[in-house]
Amino acid sequence: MIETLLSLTVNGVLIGGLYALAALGLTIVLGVMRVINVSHGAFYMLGAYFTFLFSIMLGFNYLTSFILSAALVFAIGVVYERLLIKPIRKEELNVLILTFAAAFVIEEIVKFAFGPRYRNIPPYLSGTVNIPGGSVDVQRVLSFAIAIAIVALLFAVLRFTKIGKAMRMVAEDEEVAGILGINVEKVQMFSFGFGAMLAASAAALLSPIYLLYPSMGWDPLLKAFAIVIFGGMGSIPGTVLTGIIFGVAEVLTGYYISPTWKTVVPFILLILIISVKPTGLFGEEE
Amino acid sequence: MLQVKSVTVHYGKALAVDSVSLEVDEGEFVAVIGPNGAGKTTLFKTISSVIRPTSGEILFEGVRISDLPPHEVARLGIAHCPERRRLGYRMSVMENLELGAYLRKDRAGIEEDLKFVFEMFPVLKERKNQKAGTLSGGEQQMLAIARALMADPKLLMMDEPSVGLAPLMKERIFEAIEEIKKERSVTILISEQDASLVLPMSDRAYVMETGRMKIEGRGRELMENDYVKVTYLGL
Ligand SMILES: Nc1ncnc2c1ncn2[C@@H]1O[C@H](COP(=O)(O)OP(=O)(O)OP(=O)(O)O)[C@@H](O)[C@H]1O
Ligand SMILES: [Mg+2]
Repeated sequence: MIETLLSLTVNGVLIGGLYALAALGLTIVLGVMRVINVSHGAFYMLGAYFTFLFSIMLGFNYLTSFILSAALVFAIGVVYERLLIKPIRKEELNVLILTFAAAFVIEEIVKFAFGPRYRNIPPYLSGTVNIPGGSVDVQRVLSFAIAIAIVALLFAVLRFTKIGKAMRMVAEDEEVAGILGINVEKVQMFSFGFGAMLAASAAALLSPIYLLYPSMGWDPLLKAFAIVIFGGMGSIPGTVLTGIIFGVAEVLTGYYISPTWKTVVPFILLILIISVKPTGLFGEEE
Repeated sequence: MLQVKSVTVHYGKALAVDSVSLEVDEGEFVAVIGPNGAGKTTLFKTISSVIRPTSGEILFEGVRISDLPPHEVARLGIAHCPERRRLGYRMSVMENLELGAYLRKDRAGIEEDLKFVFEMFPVLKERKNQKAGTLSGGEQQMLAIARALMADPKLLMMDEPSVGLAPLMKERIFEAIEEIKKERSVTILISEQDASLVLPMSDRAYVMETGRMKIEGRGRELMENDYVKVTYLGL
C-alpha cells in the first residue's frame, strides 16, 4: 500500500523533473523579456523531431542526438527572436498572436518534412531498478538526472556568471540594465534561445517515453503555462517545485482515480491555488 | 565634454523637454534645479539614450550619442544614477555593485573603487550579502550612487538623489556627494528640487521649468538671483 504510493511518487518525481525543465524555458522568457511565448510548445516538438532525425534517420547515438537537437533549437530560437519578437516585443497582444500563429507554421513545416504520422523513438537505455512497491526504468532515472543537471547549471549560470546577473537585471529593470552597459537586446535574444533550448531538451528526454506527432507541442505548452502560473510567474524555484508536484499529482491521479483524469488534475490544482494565492506559490505580491 | 543642443523630447504627443541646451565641461559640477514635472528626469534619460529626442542632438567628447543605444553611451563613460534608485532589488548589495562595474575589465581598479564606496558608505559593506530590496530608502540611495561610481565614469549623472528621504539622510547623501566631488576626478551633472542643498556646491546651475531652461549661471550667482531666491530658496 504505502510501497505502491512510494513507487508511484518516485515515478511522478522523475517525470515531473522533465515538466519542470520544459516550463523553465517559459519562465526564463517571461521573466527576462516579459513575453508570453505561445511557440514554446513548437520548440518542444522540434526538439523531439530533431532527436528523431539525428538518432533514427541519421544514426547518431542518443546523447549526441540530444545535444545536436538542443543546439539546433537554440539557434532557431535566436533567429526567431531576432526576426519575429524583437520588432514587436512591446506590444503584448501582438506577441501573443504572432507566437501562436508561428507555432502553427512550424507545425505545418514539420508535418511537411516528416509526415503527419506518429513516430516513436525506442528507449535509449533498457533495464529497471527495483524500488519498494515496484520498479523504475533506468532510462527515466538517467533522464531525470540529466534534467536536474541542466536545472542546476541554469541556477549556477544565473547566480554566478556575468551573463546570468545581466539576465536578472534585465528581468528586473530593462531600462536600468541598459544604463549599466548591458546590451539588453543581446541578452534577450540569448534568453529566448535558451528558453527554446530548455523546451527542446525536455522533449528530447521525454521522446523515448511519448509518441511524436506534429501537434504534440500543445499539451506540454498548456502544462508549462499551468506550472509557470502555479509556481508564481517568473519564479524559478517555484517552477521547478511545481513541475515536480504536477508530475506526482498526475501519476497518483492516473493510478488511484482514473487515467482520463490525469491531464485535468494539474489544471484543477491551478484553479485552487490561484483562488487562494493569485500570484502563485512563489509569486511576489505587488 | 557634454553638449546638449536644442533637444526636444515628446512622450507620444506630449511635449516634455522643449528645445533645451546644456553644457558640462570636464571637471565641472553642474546642477539642474526645477520643480516636479520640469523635465529633469526626461533630460537625463535622453542623455543616457533611454529616450530618443524628437529633435536636437547630444554630443559627448565630440561623439554624437543621441542615436546610440544606452549600453554604448555607458561604454563611453557616462554613468546614470536614476531617479528613485531603480536597483536590482532581488539581488544582493554586492551583485548590484558588480553590475555597476559591468563594462570594466580592470580588476585592480574595481577592487579600489569597491574599497572607496565601502569607506564612504560602511553600511553597504555590512550588508553586502543582503538583498537590495531589504535596505532602507536611504541605504538604497547610497547603493544607487555607489553602483554608478563602480563604473568609474567620466561623467556621473545623479537624478534627484535626495528625493523622498528624511532631512538627516538628505544631508548624509549630500556629504557623500561633496566627498565624491573632492576625491574623484569625475564630472558631475545632478538634478535636484532642493536648491539650497545643491547650489552652494555647484560650479554652474540651470533652472528648468515646464520643459525649458529658464535661467543659467554660476552656482553662487544663482543664489543671489531674486527669482531663484523667491521661488527655490524660499527667502
Ligand atoms: N513615461 C512618461 N509618459 C508620459 N509622460 C511622461 C512620462 N514621464 C514623464 N512624463 C511627463 O513629462 C514631463 C516631465 O517629466 P519629468 O519626469 O522629466 O520631470 P522632472 O523634472 O524629473 O520631475 P520630478 O521632479 O517630479 O522628478 C511631465 O509633464 C511628466 O508628466
Ligand atoms: Mg524627475
